[in-house]
Amino acid sequence: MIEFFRVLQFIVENGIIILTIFIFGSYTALAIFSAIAMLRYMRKNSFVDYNVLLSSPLAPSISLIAPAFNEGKTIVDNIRSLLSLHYNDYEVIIINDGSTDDSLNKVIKAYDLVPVKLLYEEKLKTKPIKAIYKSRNKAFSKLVVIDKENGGKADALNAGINLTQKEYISAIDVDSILVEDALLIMAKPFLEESGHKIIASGGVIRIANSCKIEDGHITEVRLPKNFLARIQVLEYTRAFLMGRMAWSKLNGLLLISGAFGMFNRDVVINCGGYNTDLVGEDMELIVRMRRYMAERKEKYRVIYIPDPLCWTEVPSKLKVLVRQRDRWTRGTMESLFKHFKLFFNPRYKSLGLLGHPYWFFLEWLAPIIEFIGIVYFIIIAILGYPNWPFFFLLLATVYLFAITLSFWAVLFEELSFHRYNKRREVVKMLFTSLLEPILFHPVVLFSTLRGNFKFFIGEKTWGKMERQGFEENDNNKVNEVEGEHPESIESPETVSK
Amino acid sequence: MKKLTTMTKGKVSIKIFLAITGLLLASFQVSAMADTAIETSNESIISPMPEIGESGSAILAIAEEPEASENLSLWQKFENRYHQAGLKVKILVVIVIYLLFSLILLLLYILINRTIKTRERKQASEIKGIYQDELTSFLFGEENQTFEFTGINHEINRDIFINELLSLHNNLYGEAATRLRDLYFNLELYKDSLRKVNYRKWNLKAKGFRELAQMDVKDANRDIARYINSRDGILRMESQLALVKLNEEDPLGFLDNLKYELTEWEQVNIHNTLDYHQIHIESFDRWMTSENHSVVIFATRLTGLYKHIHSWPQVLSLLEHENPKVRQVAVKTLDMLEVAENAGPLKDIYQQDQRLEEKNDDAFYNLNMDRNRMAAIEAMASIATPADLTFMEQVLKTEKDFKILKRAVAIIAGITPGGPELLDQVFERADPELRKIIEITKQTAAQ
Repeated sequence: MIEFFRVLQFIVENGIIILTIFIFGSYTALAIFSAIAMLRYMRKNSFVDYNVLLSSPLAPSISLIAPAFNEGKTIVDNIRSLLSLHYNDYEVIIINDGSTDDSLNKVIKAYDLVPVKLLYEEKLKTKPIKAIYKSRNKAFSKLVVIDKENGGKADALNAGINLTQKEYISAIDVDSILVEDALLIMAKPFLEESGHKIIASGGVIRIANSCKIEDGHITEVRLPKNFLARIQVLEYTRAFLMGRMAWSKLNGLLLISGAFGMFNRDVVINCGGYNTDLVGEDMELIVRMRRYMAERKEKYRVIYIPDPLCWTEVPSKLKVLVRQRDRWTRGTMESLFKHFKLFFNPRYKSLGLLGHPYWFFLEWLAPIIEFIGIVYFIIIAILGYPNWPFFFLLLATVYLFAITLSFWAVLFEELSFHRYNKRREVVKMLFTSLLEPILFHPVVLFSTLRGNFKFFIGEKTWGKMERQGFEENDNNKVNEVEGEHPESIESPETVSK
Repeated sequence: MKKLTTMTKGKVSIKIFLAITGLLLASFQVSAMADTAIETSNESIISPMPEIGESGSAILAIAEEPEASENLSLWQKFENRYHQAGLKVKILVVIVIYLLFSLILLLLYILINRTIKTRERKQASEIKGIYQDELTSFLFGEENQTFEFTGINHEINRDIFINELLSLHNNLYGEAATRLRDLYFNLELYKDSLRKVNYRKWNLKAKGFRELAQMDVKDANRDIARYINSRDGILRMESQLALVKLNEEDPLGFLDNLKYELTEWEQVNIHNTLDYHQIHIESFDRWMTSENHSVVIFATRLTGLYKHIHSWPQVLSLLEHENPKVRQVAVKTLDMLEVAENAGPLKDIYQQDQRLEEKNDDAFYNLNMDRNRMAAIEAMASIATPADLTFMEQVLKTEKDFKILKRAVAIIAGITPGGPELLDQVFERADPELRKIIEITKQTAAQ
């Protein structure tokens, strides 16, 4: 019996320690890479005048594609905000994906829409389209509305991609708030391609809970009052400023948030568009696009822009958060397993040797190993064998490391975009980071395990997303969206930290 | 006048932080190396097996040696235990101490940095305000009046002053702009800008380029031209933009020697500079034979944008270019030039690229071919006559790309006489897709 315990002890403990060292090392390396890349970006950016694109006949054309499902409460304002972006050659395609509320009627009335006959090729299969609308008012000439049968977010995006003739497509969540220069900033990397094709670019997603919003624009950035939302600010800052920046530098980005990303239309179509059978279609598309380029031996890059271009609402209720993270986990697993061929495959270079294995071990496997570690410890605690001093020493190490990462993230934010102006807000963020590993992490771990369980039993539901609605933040009114239009995968790589 | 000495404090505190971090890391390494020989027992989350059930804290219990524990200080006890512990414990202890230290330092740095930054911003904005007022008084004052600018000899203030002067100059024209330029020279601020060009840091160099270009310091031409082929993209672009402005005789002369690809972003910026400063260039022909294909593309684009109809033969010759992207830009440029004689060559390029696509399976190559054919058809829109109907009918028969078909049908519908009649004839024998295109095009035209 003792011999058995020795073997078990050796395997479990050494495995966990090796993984812990690997995680510590990876995060530290990513943070260093990010810091270097960020510094360079900030300096480089001080020489950039995005306004040259505004009037340039050489600027590329862009199509903003926004699927909408039962967004009647905010859709008119959201469209107005999208139509007022600073860019010349762009169109806004709204896809009403079989909404059961009055979204379509509201939009038709507000923008004076009439049905039109438009010829387009159905390169990507979608659910039938009932009608296409354009405005009689020239002021809204950039707007196109597609009314189609419900087929889910991916299907709606594919319908928009079929219709557009523009060079680049930008997929967004209709309820996200874009900063006015978002398209100018997002388009720039595509113009900088030299020797390699830029297939996609993605920006930072920032949290809009508690922010002051007027006419669809953020007018005052505030730290969320809700504790859960505040923790997510920290989590997003860590993931976007410290993680993705480094991955972009290493050309290993596997995810562009569906809340706001820009893609080369031709590559998306050649790859077959969004996969309608998956819950994590945003991540899977990027992996497929990268795989497609690598298999064709084309030089390519996926670019990440650290500027805060898109603001979105995050769950402020535990139940909704658990559902969201559960879905993110399934989305991650779908992409990892569907493209398992990439795993340590040198043919795919950074994608196969870095990106895929990293996500496999640190995003998918790490929470499972963590769970095994917890179960293991509970068993030895029940049996009365724990070595408490060593346990507390390990716990202190992990806890302090987690907090240090969060502190670094706050520092990155302070030295880069400095969006939270009040000193009190920074102190609150630091204090929140002390509580995050104790209060937030277990919830995320539970959601991840639930996602794993659901994945293996083959469940593919999206679940119900509840949104407070930006205007009702303080009144706690809830806008429920049920069906197949969840918010996008924002930052699954933040899970488990 | 307040001096912005606090600006350097941030940098010092970063250095202190890095130094302490470095020391801690070094101590960690030394201690880890020195202790590798020490026994590593009791380093498990489970108590050592022989002691199972006896003690739950075996790791640190090693240090519980009775003899000295009573007389030793807390630190000495800790030290003893540390030295007797195994390697893993030592590593963990060092990591915990390091993390604790770094947390405290980070906390202090974040809070102090916030205070310093707030103060710096306040001071900088105060100084900016002072300089804005002084520069305004200077502009509206007497021409021969002597002006003193507060604290201008201080390095940081001088930099703020240059920024304000340039920003004001950027928004002014005519006499006011000239007065500011004279002031820039009289105060010898150009020396500051020239000095920046020789700094090692790329961002300062680039800033220097901008300042010199804006103030038309033509003497800097040679210094700036050295960076045309810099490996640093920003330096390269900033030097290009500066030369466009400074090299009056040959603003785009640098294109002759450009070794790197001229990115579209650079093209947008150069075109914007040409437009903004109303720089006129007679012809872009000489760059249409460049070995650098991006230069050929840019020159061809500019030919179209500035409607250089006299360059039509050169653009036409590019239809034979080996690079499909160059051919595509050439077709688009021909469209912009709207020369009636284009029809023949456009038909040829359409047919040539159709043949090339048929021979090739590569999706990206064919995408370029599709684009070229589309550009050729698009260009036909402005010049097509009834004489081109036979060619257009051929397009409907052989073309597989939906977008090109759609466009070709629309062009035919607009050719009178004969276009609508041809569509009626084609409709009878067309496949369902083409029928639908013709049907909807006619309906749209009727509306």
